[in-house]
Amino acid sequence: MTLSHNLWFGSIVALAAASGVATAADFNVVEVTQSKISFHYTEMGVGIGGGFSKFSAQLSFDPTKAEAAHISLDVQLSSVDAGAAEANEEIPGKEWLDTQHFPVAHFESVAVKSLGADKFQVTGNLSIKGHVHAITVPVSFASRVNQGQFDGSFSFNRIDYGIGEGEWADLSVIANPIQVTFKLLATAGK
Amino acid sequence: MCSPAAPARFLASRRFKLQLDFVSQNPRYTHTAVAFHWLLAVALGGAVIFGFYVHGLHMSPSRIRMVNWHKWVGVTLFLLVLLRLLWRVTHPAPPLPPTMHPLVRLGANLSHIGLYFLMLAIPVTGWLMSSAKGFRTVWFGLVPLPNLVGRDAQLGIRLLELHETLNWLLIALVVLHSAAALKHHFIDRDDVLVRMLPARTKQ
Repeated sequence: MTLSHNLWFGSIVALAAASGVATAADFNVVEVTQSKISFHYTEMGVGIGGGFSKFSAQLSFDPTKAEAAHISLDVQLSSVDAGAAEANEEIPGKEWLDTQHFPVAHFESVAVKSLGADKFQVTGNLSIKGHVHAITVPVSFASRVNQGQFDGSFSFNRIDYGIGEGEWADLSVIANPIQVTFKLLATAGK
Repeated sequence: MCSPAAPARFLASRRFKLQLDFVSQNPRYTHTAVAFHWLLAVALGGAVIFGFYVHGLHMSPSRIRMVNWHKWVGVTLFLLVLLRLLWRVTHPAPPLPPTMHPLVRLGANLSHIGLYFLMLAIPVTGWLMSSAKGFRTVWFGLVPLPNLVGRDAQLGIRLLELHETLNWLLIALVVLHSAAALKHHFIDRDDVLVRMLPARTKQ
């Protein structure tokens, strides 16, 4: 975020506080079309980017009461783009995401902690392909009036979720870490 | 094909004398040019055969590993061909025998230009194809090459077809090139083939 943006946002908050308007707002509608979930992996030293076009989320987030926040996210795995036509042919298969048996990846937050200055730490459970692991995700939040944007990134090891089994468990070809980056745009519903 | 007297007649012919003069007056290819020729003949031949082999394999980690090696070798060969071309430009090839018909001479020159063109165009189409398919080429996993085209699956398929077609053209030209060299040696009996062989004796 730029300094001017910070200043601008800061002054809005200051104005709102001075005028006695509560800055509290419950951001509870995720605007999926303006949100984005992408990922990055490496194949023999070559970085490849992909993403998911279909997902849905239930959100309740009040920046003044971050500890009470909750998010639940469902990603339709069949909407994957693994970055190349060859990869897209493979990835729905049994050894990779096995979308036929496990069509949805799910994240459910357990705790949200404020780290100050619009930074939060979300811990929760990520389930993919029948494997569930706790993850910790640093998230930054920015809002303008009625709209808030969450940006975050985390990485997980694909082997922990059985993504790439059998011969594909060879980590020297497709590396273990999968870096996930997301942008979620939310509005404060009535 | 030849009567028993034919070799003797050939040795006594004016044509043979002309060739003897030509050979004594004209140098061979330089050692460097000879080394480039045979190194690239073997390495390019290997890369072409390996490319066709890998193309036919089912997707697997070993296929990905082989595809990457094919790309790395291709980039290396592209650089070697550039060096070879630089050498060729700065060290002109020995002239063709004067006994050659002008049209045959033109054919020889065109086929050499074609060979150089293909030796450069084939790796370039491979590189573009890799980019279009969504895979950046990273030489030996260390040196990333720029993506000259963006990800475009359809373009990737067309570039794959072009890469393959150019390889078939290269194979056809190499067959023609080898046949011509053998014709020069066994039928025309000139030094065109010998001067590209590794030198056995000091020149």
